[in-house]
Amino acid sequence: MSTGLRYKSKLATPAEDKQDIDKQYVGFATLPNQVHRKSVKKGFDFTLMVAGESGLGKSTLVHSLFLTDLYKDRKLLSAEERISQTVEILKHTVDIEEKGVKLKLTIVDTPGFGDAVNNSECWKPITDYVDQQFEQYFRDESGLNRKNIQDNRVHCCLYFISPFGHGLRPVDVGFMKALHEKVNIVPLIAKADCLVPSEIRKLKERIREEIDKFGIHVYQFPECDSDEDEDFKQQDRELKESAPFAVIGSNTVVEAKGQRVRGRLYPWGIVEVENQAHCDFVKLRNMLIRTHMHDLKDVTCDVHYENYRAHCIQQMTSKLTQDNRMESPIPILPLPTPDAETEKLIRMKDEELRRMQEMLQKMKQQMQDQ
Amino acid sequence: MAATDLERFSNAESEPRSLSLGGHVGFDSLPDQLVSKSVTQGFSFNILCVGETGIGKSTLMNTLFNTTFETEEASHHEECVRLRPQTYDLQESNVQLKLTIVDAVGFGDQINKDESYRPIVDYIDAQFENYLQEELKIRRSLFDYHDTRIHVCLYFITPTGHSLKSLDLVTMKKLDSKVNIIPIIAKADTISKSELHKFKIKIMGELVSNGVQIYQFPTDDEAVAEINAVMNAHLPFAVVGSTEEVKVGNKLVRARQYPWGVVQVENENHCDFVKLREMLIRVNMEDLREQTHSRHYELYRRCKLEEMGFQDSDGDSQPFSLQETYEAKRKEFLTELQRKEEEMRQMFVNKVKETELELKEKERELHEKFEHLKRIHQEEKRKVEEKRRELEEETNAFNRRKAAVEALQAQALHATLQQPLRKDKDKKN
Repeated sequence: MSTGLRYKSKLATPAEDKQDIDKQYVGFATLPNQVHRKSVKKGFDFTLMVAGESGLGKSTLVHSLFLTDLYKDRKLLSAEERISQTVEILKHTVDIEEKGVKLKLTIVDTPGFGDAVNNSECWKPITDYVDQQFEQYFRDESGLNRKNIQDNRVHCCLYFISPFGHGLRPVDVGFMKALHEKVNIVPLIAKADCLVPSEIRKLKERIREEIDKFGIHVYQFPECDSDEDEDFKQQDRELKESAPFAVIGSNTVVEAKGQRVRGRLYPWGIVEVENQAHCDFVKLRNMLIRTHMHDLKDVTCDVHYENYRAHCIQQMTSKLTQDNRMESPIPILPLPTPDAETEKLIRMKDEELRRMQEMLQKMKQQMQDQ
Repeated sequence: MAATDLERFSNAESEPRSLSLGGHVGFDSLPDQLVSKSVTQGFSFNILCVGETGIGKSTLMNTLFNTTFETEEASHHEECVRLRPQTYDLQESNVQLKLTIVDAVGFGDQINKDESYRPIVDYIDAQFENYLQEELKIRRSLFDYHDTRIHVCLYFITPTGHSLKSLDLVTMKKLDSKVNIIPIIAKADTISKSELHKFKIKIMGELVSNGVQIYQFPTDDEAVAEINAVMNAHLPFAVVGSTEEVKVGNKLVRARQYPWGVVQVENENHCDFVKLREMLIRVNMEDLREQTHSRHYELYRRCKLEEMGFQDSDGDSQPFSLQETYEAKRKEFLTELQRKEEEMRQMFVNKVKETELELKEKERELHEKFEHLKRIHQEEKRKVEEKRRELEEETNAFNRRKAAVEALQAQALHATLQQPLRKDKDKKN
């Protein structure tokens, strides 16, 4: 909401002083408007991954964030089934719309993470999945027809830390270290309604210390420009200070002080999910959806994907120089420039296209014969 | 002789007759005597707390016993599970309690938890073993013995709201035949009432379907049967622990203060802490100790002794006494020992013989070689001698010939010299 208001107020000035500045007015100040229109027409997509042990309230939080139930008919495993469970990757995609803006939201769920008795390398399926999406995008980007590229790369990973401990556990550290160079990690303290305010402060400090100690690179909020208003700067400061967010989720609506609010009903009181004094849910929602969603996508594209791409290309060229003696149908020059790579890919795509055209021809003929 | 006497005595009264008393005798004070004796002796109680790090074990102990046990916060990065026992002396009225709290430090933190249960099981067995050793001693003092066997295991379940964790199931299965398990839902102020009900049902269902035997409060004693039966239905207890006091109304109560309300520890509406305290300490403590001794310890003892080869009855189903078995075992052991000694001696002797033979063999060989070499040497010497003689002969022959030739030469010369002289002489004549 605040982003929309911000630039609209800037545009308000030309219209008022139209007569005076008419001669000097070029008109490219309407660019933001045009971008807005085009993007509304194109629609947005966002892929969010949620990870953490079972029972930390991940699905409830997703439900509270996006106000839709993505997990209908979910089957929860019993304890004995989970003893040697492997991690699965489940994707749920929904199309949601708000005020004409369409969002294709994909939630990637990781059931089974940290559930088995032996959790060695339980984050491997997840890193494989993230790498797979990068690879897919890399291939698509280097292809001939780039009109309809589907961006399935994971833009943000919400990692749920258990509030019942004293800080990060070995499995938390292992997961974050395996993924911090591939995905934007936003750590959260789950089920924060079991902690009194002093305990929350202590736990946040502890977690921040341990993140530094273990050298984990979580998602950093970008610095706000120096010409932003004081209000915004204050908000930004508060945001940075309250990381990691202590959240509570709820998919039930209860009656509190005459109002119907989303919350949890206890014999000793009602926890309101959207009450800033109770938990950081509102901060998380604002950050994730209302202010930083695009920044998350940008960091994924500009930093994580580029790292992957550079790494991938380096590997491929080093492999080529090794296999130089091998007979290859396409004459490949062992140059460490990306041109050779894309040429090879182009030729591969060429062949594929030819094959597909042949198949189409055959089908046409069959139809004609009939 | 003594055996037959005993037989006569035991067969005389097949069944005791019950008689009614004419007046008050006074042996109804027996329980009181027992009680006063045990009070002077003091009691010991050992609790094992098993649960994830940070789940609230120490806080709950502090809350239960209304005191502060000095325990340091554990880290999440322990290499493996270790047990940390701490013993305290508590006193209430005139009853002394030696309380030992054993903490399973590092439980549930490792990435690979396959072996997490092992240190716990080993510790429990070790305590049983100590007691067994004391029992089997010749000069024993069970009276004075500090009983360290675990009487109850409080298993702390994480309040996920779904079901038990896989680690919980595996661990409880390993422990249920060794110790009385009371499962507790920790940090229960994070579950709402409806969720709690479903959670409890799910947990009990999983325990039953996996055959885990948790401790059931006894319902055979009339005085406490009713309350115990009611409490059995409330398992597992959902508890909240706190040592901080908050003002509620005009009283200071132990509670946790949240922005949205105050969770009172001793309010039955808020959590089951009071129920746990009732059951664990006020009603069933003695039963827990008894069960540990009569069920779990006996099971351990039986298994251990069977392992060592003891039996209660031999093939003819005549009861063996421990003494006989012991004697038999001892004899067996000694004969075994002797046999082994013999074997070893035999082996030693054999080895010595072998080495002797080897050495002799080697000696003979060496001797042969020596002889052989000597012969060759002599052979050579002889040949050399022969050659030398030949050489000498040849030199002699040569010398003679040389001498002969010289003589001939000298003669020839002399002859020629003589001839010209004769010619000269002839001429002169």
